[in-house]
Amino acid sequence: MAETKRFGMVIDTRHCVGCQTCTISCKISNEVPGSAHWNHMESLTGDVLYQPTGTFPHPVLGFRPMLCNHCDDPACVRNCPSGAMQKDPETGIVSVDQNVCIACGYCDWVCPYGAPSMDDVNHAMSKCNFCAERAAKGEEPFCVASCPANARIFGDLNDPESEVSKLIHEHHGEQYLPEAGTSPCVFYI
Amino acid sequence: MTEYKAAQPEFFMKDGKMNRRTFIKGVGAITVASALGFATNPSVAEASKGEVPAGEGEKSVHAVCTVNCTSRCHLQGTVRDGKLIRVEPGDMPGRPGYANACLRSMSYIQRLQDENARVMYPMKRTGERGSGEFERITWDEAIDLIAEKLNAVVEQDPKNASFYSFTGDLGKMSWEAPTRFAGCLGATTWDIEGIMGDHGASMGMTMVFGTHRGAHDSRDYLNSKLLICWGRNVADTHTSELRDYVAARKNGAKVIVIDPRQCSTAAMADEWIAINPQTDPALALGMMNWIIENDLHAKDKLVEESVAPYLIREDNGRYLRMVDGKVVDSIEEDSAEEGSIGTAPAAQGAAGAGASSYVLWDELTDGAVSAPDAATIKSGAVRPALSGTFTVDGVECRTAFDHLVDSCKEYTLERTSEICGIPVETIERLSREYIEAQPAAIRMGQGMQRVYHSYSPFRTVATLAMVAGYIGVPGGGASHAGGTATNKPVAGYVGPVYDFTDWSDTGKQANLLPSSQVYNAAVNRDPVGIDFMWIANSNFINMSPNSNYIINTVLPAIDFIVTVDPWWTWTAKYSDVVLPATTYWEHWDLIDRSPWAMFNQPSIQPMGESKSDVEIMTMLAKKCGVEQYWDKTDEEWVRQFVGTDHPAWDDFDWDRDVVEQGIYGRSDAIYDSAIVYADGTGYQTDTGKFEFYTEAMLEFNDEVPTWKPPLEDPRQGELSEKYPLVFIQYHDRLNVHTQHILNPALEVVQDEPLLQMNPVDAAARGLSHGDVVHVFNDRGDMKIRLFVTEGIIPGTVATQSGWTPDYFIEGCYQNLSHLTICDAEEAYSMTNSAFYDILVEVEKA
Amino acid sequence: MLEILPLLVFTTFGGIAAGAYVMNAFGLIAGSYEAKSSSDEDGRAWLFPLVCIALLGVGLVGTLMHLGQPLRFINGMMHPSSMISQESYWAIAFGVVMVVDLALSKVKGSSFAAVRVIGAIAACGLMVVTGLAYQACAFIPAWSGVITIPLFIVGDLAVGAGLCLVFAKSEGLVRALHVGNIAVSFGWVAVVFGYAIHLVGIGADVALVAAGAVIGPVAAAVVSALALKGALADKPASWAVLACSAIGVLLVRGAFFAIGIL
Repeated sequence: MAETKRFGMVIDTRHCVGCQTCTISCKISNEVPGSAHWNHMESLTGDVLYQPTGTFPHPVLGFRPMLCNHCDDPACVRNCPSGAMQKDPETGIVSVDQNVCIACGYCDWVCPYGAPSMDDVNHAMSKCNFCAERAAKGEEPFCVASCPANARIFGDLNDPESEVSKLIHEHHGEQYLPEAGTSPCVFYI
Repeated sequence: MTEYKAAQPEFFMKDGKMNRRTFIKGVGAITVASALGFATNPSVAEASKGEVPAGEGEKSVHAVCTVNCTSRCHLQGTVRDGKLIRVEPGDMPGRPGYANACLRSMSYIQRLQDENARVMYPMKRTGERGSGEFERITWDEAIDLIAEKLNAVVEQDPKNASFYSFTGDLGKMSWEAPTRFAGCLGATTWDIEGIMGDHGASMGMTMVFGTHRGAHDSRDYLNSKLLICWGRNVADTHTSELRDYVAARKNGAKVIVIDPRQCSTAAMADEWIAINPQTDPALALGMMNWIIENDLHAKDKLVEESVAPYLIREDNGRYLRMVDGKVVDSIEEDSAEEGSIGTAPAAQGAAGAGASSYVLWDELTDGAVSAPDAATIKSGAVRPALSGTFTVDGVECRTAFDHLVDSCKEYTLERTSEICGIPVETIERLSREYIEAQPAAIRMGQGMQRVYHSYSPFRTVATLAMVAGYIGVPGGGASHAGGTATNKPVAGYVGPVYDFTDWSDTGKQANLLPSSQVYNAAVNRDPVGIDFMWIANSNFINMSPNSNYIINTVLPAIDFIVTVDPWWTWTAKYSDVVLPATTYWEHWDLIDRSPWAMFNQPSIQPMGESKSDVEIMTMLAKKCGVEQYWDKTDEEWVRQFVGTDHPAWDDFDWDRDVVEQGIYGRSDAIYDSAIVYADGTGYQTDTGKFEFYTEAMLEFNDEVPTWKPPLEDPRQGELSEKYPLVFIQYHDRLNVHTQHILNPALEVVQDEPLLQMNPVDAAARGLSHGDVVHVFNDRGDMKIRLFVTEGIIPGTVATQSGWTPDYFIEGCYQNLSHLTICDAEEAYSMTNSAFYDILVEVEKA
Repeated sequence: MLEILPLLVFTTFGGIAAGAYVMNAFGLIAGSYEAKSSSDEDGRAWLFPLVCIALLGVGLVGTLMHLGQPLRFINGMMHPSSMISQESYWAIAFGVVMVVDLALSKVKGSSFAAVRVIGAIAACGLMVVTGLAYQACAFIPAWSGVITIPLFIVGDLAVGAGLCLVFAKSEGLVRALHVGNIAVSFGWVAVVFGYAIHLVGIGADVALVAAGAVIGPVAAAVVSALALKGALADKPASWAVLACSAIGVLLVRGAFFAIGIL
């Protein structure tokens, strides 16, 4: 295993059923305050969630679970005026220091993935941190542990033997919106 | 159940030990276990590997979810400052991949700790019923008032006092306490499955298998080449199984979903086959017809394990019966036990009691012989004729199989297509793929049986599986309800695993009646009157058919109504006294789901003055003269239940397994995957075989599987001109029944009920996505927002079940439904509410 | 609606100040400097920078209103690669130049052309960086078009022209500013039209933007043309140009923010 980790996730959209257990598990277990959400769900192929694309009798129903992509070159970090948004060089986890954040919301605007979510209770930005405390102990993030379809797999992208690395290789995992140039660490199958 | 050693999903550990899903294999587990300081006790260390240690000031607690999705998930909670703050999947000893907690159970803690959502104190009605006007009273005042009313009714006739306990909390004690109390008084209680609309499955299963339930362990689908989810949205409604379906698909199985809606499960399936609601038996018959016509049916299996070769008398349609080589008209011990309905298996005879009196034609001896068991036929001792007309003792007979073939013949691909709304090519391809899969599994769901003649879907689809030879075959089956592992018999031990002796002792017996008769009882005092009604674990109005009728006719006929519930339900508002009940996080209870014993215990202080059902019944017992049957605390009951010397409890430790872990993996458990009816054994029908020919249905011309049009038929008639759309109410990700509406966190998923409609139907009515629409029929109406989707078959509209009137723009979905007695069902056991046999029209509001 | 109000306040009020400094510099160059210094300033050369400082101040209040943690605003300057930090730098620079302008004008009694030009340069920087900050939000379609940059610059100039007109007294300067306003309005119409095309491209509603174009540059240009013909008195014409431009810019920017993030 490489010394420096690059935590990442593989999401298998072939088996995601759109239940949003990830969304709710994250919200409840991380005690995400107020109206903030660190996970959300989008339609895989269309604009309206839960509306399939195509036409009857062969419409396509698919989902794209969204969370922070913990990008290698995160737009939020680059554009954060206060430096509250940071990427941990040891783990690759992107997180926000709520004690520094001025809550301008600019990170939310520049993020291609809509990941930062304003914490309207503490008046500072909040976001997914890959359940850093759990990750440090080798535990999966809440969203992964709770996924009833095993559609989320978490691990170290720097380790070629990790399940995530293997899955990306075998199933040609793709980043979402790579054109944003942020080199995300979440891959979709 | 027969144990079958199948390929296991990657996350299954054969040693039966816990293995938390860590992303660093084998590292996190050890770290966490030692962090808990449990390393000295191996069994605890194993069982606790998965748990993340609670943080500073936090405490790990446990519960088993007892709502009626039947997954029975073990939940791990975290309590801080006396409040539940988190719910995660709890470990499942022996089957770690099965740990599950759904979005409903996670967000439930928000609602159950919200004093505005809960009934906090005993309340007495002050305004009109339904006005919601109540005043707080003390427990003593409440119990005195109730006892006075109840005792007066009991004195006249205890049967006129009803105890109606449903599925709101299926913990053994919560669920059974009210009916047990009815037993103490000789009062009436109601067999729940009919009115709630689950009984069609039980009847269909009982007809063919002899038991209500029966399922392959979902891990067995790794052996399947094809897996059909038939009317079962497993992703939302039996979530704990989903991982096994995913594993099966990754393993190469094709997954097909048959459903009027492109349900969540369809999102992970290879194909969604849209079918008109109420027509599933026709599709199964069409498939059988294609299979038989192409001579692809499992002839050996049929003659060995089913009644296919059994001779049916041409004169009266009954099974030919012989005693001592002589044909007899009837057999004494044949009759089904009276009154054994509902939660007890429907009309269930002793398995194979009269098996030897049935007759088949042996081609080896060219004569009629007493039907032997499957093993004898498999040995080649007899060679039963599958087909043909024979005369026995002067009585002309044909095989049951020939009757089935006759019934199937009508269902050509074209006719099946016309009924089901599925293209001919699709039905043909489905039939071919199904028979060629070898093996193919079917998971049946209640979605197809909320129809008139509700026994037909399960019975017919199961018969299809038998015709294809997939019953009792690894990777096959026609499964109903979740399948899990089982327990091994312990040689030489005959005593029960649990001690329910005291719990079962009620002095008198409850008067158990079919719930299909509850409206009739209230309104017409037939078969009993209802002068006192105790409603527990049930939002009766919201979840029973025809809410307008309940409110306007049924409830006014009932003199005194007590509702015991944690929530201010629609039903509570129509009650005279409302008592605050605890939830599964606040009281003691037990779920004995093989191979596990799972426990509830007070993890937080009960909200307000809420009490468990047992505590409430214990208080009432003192005023009704039956206190001797209610002499234990909740904890004492649970301790007694598990306090036997059965070897199942060899490794049991109360503090560790109940208090700390909340779940006990039994010592006699088999954690491997299991299937049912292997080798043609285990049928509990009277013939001891798979029984697709049902003598009891003769008088209704329904002795072999058939399809009958729905009561409210969209194809023809005046009603279909007025109300051309079929309306179904389905269970989705947000709710089981009404108890999860609307947990605050769930608002992000969906914050109001929606009516799904195909764009074709929307265009025909000038409706657009997001419009507020008026949905109506002769019974009632609702105003609701429209969700236009290609994911529903044209001609059908659908709303999520469980939403309460508060969330509708006007009205409620449940006032569109009806309870219409079906004679055939009532004769067999009881009518099943046909929640999906409803016609409506939709217009812009 | 409430979420976009601070953004509207900041970009519009700060933008008026910036646009006014640029148009003022234009006036200095295009109009008669001598005439201006004697008659236009009337010994109150300090008023123009003071008003602009006040406007920028209101804009900054808008910024603070937008921040969830206004007391930490100083943190917002910590990261030079962030457009928000850069906006702060330019706003501070612009503010400093205006304060210098105010002090010198007060002491001298008339303005320093060089200081006004330096102020105009700082103002340009602020306008450009503001446009760039929004344009950089690649996944907010209403903002991410290249048109966003001129949308801020030209809009600011249009309102700035109106403000300068209100201050202008000499005929030469007034004429120069009216001519300038007509030119800016043409440019502003073109930019708004371009933005409308962009909105159509992303399937958004263009009604508000169209209204802004008519009430703003079209009306302002007509007023200027009438004023140049002598059909309108100077004072009312100047105020009318300012009012039209300000309303036009508010409408267009209101649409910009609403479509972007509401």
